Amino acid sequence: MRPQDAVAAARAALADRRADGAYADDLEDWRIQPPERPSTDALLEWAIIEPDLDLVVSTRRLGAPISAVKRLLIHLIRQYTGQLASQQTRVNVHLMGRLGELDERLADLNLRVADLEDLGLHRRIGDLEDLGLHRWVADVEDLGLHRRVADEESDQR
Amino acid sequence: MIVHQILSGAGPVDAVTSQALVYRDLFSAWGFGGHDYAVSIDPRIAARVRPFKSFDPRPDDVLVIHYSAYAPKLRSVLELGNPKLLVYHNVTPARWFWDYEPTIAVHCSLGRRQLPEFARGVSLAAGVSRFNAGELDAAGAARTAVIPILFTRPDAPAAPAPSGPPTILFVGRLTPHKRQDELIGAFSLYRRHRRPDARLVLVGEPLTPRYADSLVELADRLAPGAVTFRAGISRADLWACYQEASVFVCLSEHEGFCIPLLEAFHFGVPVIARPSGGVVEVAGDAAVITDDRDLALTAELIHLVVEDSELRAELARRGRERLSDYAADEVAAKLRAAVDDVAGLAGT
Repeated sequence: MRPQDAVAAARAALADRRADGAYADDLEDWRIQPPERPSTDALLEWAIIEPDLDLVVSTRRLGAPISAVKRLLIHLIRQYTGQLASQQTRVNVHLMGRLGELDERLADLNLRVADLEDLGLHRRIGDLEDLGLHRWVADVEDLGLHRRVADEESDQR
Repeated sequence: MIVHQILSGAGPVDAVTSQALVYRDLFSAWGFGGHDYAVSIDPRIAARVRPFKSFDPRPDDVLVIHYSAYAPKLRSVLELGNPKLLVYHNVTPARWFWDYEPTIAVHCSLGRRQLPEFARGVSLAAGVSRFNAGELDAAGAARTAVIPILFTRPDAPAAPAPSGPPTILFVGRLTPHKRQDELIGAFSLYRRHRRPDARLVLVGEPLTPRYADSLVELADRLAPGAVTFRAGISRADLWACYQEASVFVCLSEHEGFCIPLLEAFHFGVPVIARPSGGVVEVAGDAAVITDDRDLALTAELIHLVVEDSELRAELARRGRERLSDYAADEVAAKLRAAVDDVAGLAGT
């Protein structure tokens, strides 16, 4: 068999096998499921950077002095870490704002699509396209007729 | 002539680094001086690559920039007046990574967004495939060229057709866009409906341990005990994988070039692949190509290729022919022409 004929041959063999009841496997969970995405609420909560100083501890035995030193160091460079946190928070908050806007726009557009579907307008637009009216409109635009009409209307006024 | 190479990262098993080192060997053979620099360097390769912070070229030195990832620190190179050649190895689109590794997705997204800046900021932009060169054109490069991967033939011979149970092979990083999950699915169908004794070998470094665990779990569920994952193996072991393979199956959805296709051709292993990215031009007519997403069809194709000796022989013959298009001398000549071209533009 030639390589260029292989796909057609495999397709024919598959059709035969399926006709015999093979390859009826349920492939529902045959792919890797991506990890669950964090919710928008969780992202909002994470957007504001607020490290908990109580979590800065030493896990060594008798580590209390080490914990105290760590916290002192953090206190001493708080101007720097404060800048880091505020810069990152600013980015996060703006991103969440944009995300919220996009969510709202999407919901609004979905509602409009639903309204159009209720009115059956999407079918009417489809009918017009089937009749080729959109091409006629394009032809008219190519010929510049719409501008001429607009010019004549302007002259009449 | 002095030719420096600049990479964002350098590592011992990194394909871009390997390519840069092959370039360097050629540059030395042509009598060119210069050094190779990278922003981040794996200590195992520190003897051959210098830190980017020590990069200080003279005005006429030619700069070869290897672009394969988001590289903000390399932007400073674009501001230099030196003649520059960009070698674009492709950046995978982010859409495959958002669900698994958002940080990598962000890097890929930035890498692709930054591409126009690099494509427009060099004297000549070269892709390692026409597919990549097309992306450079789309990114606004003034002049583009194709310099294929300099394929170094494996130092091991093709083996006779393997006896025993069929072995399906794929070589590539374990990442979502390479679709090892779909290959495991197709392989599972092949075992259930054609050859219960078949086995699958997946060679490649995992994107992350978590993604590797997901693939292992899927393999254990669909084809328990029949799938072998191999990472960090030596060249000799990799060549042995090809020598033992009955068929190489690539269901990847994005490939800038796909070197393993050429390796499979070298070992006479028949190839089944999806026509993604640079795969079609690299494979030519030497592979069975299909974009049909039906995994059962892939299973039937595997069966056909494994069982039909005439088809296997023809694919192997075409594969050998295909390799001649990637002969090292021809590719080296294209690289030399590109460097000479860029060097000729120095000072203009």
